Amino acid sequence: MFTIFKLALKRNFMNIPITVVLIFFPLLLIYILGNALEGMQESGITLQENVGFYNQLQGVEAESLNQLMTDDQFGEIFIIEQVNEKSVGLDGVENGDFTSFIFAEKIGQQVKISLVTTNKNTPLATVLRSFTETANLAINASRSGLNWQLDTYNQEVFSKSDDNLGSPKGIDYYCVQSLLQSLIFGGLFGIFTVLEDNDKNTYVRVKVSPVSRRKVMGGRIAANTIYITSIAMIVMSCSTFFLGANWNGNPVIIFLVMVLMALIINGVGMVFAAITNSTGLAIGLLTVALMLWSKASGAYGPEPSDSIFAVLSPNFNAKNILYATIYGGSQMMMFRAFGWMMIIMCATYLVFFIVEGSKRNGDFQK
Amino acid sequence: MVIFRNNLKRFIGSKPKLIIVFIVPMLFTILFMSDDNNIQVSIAVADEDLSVISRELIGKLQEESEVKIIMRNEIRDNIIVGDVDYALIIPKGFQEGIINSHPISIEELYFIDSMKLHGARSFIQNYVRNLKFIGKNVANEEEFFQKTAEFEQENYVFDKVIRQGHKANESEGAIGYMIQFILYMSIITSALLIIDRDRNTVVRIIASSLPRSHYIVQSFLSFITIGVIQVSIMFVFYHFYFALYFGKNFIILFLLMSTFVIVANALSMIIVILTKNEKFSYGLILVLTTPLVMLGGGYFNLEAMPQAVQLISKFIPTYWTMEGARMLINDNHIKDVAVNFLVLLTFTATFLIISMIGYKKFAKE
Repeated sequence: MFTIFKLALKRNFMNIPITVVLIFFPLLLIYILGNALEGMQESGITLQENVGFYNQLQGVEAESLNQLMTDDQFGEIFIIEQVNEKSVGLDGVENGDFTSFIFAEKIGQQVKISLVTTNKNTPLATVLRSFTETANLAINASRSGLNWQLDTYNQEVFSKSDDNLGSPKGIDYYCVQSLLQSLIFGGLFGIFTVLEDNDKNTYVRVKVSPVSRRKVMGGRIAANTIYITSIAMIVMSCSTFFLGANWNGNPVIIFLVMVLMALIINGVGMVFAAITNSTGLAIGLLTVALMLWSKASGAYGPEPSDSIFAVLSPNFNAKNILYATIYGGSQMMMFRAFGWMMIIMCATYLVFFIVEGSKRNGDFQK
Repeated sequence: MVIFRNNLKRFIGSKPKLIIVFIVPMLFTILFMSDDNNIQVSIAVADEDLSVISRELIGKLQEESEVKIIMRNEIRDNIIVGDVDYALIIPKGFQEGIINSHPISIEELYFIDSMKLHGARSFIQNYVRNLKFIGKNVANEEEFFQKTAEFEQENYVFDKVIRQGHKANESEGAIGYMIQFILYMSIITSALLIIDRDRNTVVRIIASSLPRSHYIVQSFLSFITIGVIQVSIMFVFYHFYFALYFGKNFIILFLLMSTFVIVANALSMIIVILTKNEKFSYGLILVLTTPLVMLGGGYFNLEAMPQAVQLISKFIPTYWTMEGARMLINDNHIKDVAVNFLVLLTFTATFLIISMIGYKKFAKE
């Protein structure tokens, strides 16, 4: 078994093009994704909306609303364009010129501020709702003879929590996601491990040799796991040194997570290969898994899913453990995630051995 | 056109290829485009006061944000792993502090300082300050709630209406996915060249009366045909399932995507010739596709990326495809995308020249 392990490990590392790509690709992803997502968050560019505005009010009422529309902070996210007629704004929303249209009109004694929008989550709704409530307060307070003053608004409402979370940069936060996403490509080695036997008649030679199939598989699984884990370690070192990524967690925990991920990914590749018996289809399934698991863990933006599907994703659990150790999360969260990763790993290899076992007495020639 | 027809038959006869090229893109788009929580702020609240005021504040937040009520000791974990964007801890004695004008504040936590939090923070700030103002001007709790109800009398009314409208960013996102799956399709089709070489089909063709150039041209045409069929099916799917709007110049957009099919197939031919092995060519395109689509602006707006990355992206065909698609979806003039077509055709010519130079050696092997 050790001979098989040595040979497989040597073959993996000697595959220079794939090794270089597996190291370079995550670094590229860390750089692009980290900077892009940080840029998007700081600038609010994903929130940017073209907003049409029509103000039918007069006097002080008009002035206060106009002031809100031209507020600096407001203007960073919303690109406001004043229109001369209500119909122009409504048409603008219909044909996509505006994401949202605000119009203010007086109906009897009431001022009605309407927001017509194609974005049901627009932050404008919160802003306008707040403006409306404050305006009601100011007017009703004045009518009651209370002196509603703007300097009430200088009081601090928030205090920063003592619980120091730190402020990670984009690269710090997304280096974990990017690496986990890239490691899934290690499943290719799991696929090649199973299907190369069929292609090169290695399986026939293995069957007539004194080495049991279990030892052959064991040696290859071990070699692939060490290989993928080594790639992960190299990427972590390079991202820390060249990109300033933050991997300052417990090194033992980080290493264990990478070993588990490598085992799972290798196993998944082997399962796909065993089920499909086709390189193309197995790689297609691996691509599907890559995208689904990455999305479940929030790799495409900081909004992970928390459904059962996410919990069954190795990326999601590995990410939780790594963030917990790097940014001081709870031990309970780490144990829970480790537990799920162990379950996923055992289930993966169980499925593989069941599928392989059922094919063992079949035709070895493909 | 024997080779052309034969390649199409081989492709149609392979169920895995049909699934990956036609079915998987649709499933993916359904999965990724159904998730529209990208912009909604998710807030965790630990309410230690459990008072009327704290519950009302939470109720107000729930009108526009996703709110999760949890314990204080769960907040850190939720924030760190990104389950929530923002957390609040309403301390015990909050209501009492507001009513009796004692200094009281809400603890806030966030991990990523994002513009996304701005709206929610402003709202909470204004709401609490309004309550503090009322608290300053009342004598007791009963008077406080009486005044609060009085001051809520609606002189100003807010109304929100959601319309369907054309959502350009959704259409652009759909184009991004289309580009990704065109790249996958191109390698699946181009890999037929490797299979032909390994099975000595190329040798038999050379030995026949069919000129070698016919083999390459007909193969390439068959790959493009499959790609154009894929693009057509995806557009039909987008229109009928998502009701996406692709601008007034849809025909030009279709031509643009078809041009990208040609570029992708030309690029895949280079990959196939370089890797010389079916498995490695699949692996390489798998690895290359994500950065190509990302750098092309297929996943997010390039304006958020560093200048150096924006410059590099201009040397990638996916960038010109996405930019052209964006302009057409936003109803820019057709002549604005002429440059995009020109650049894509230049990429095609370059890739084809490189692949022709490499093919001779590839076929000999």
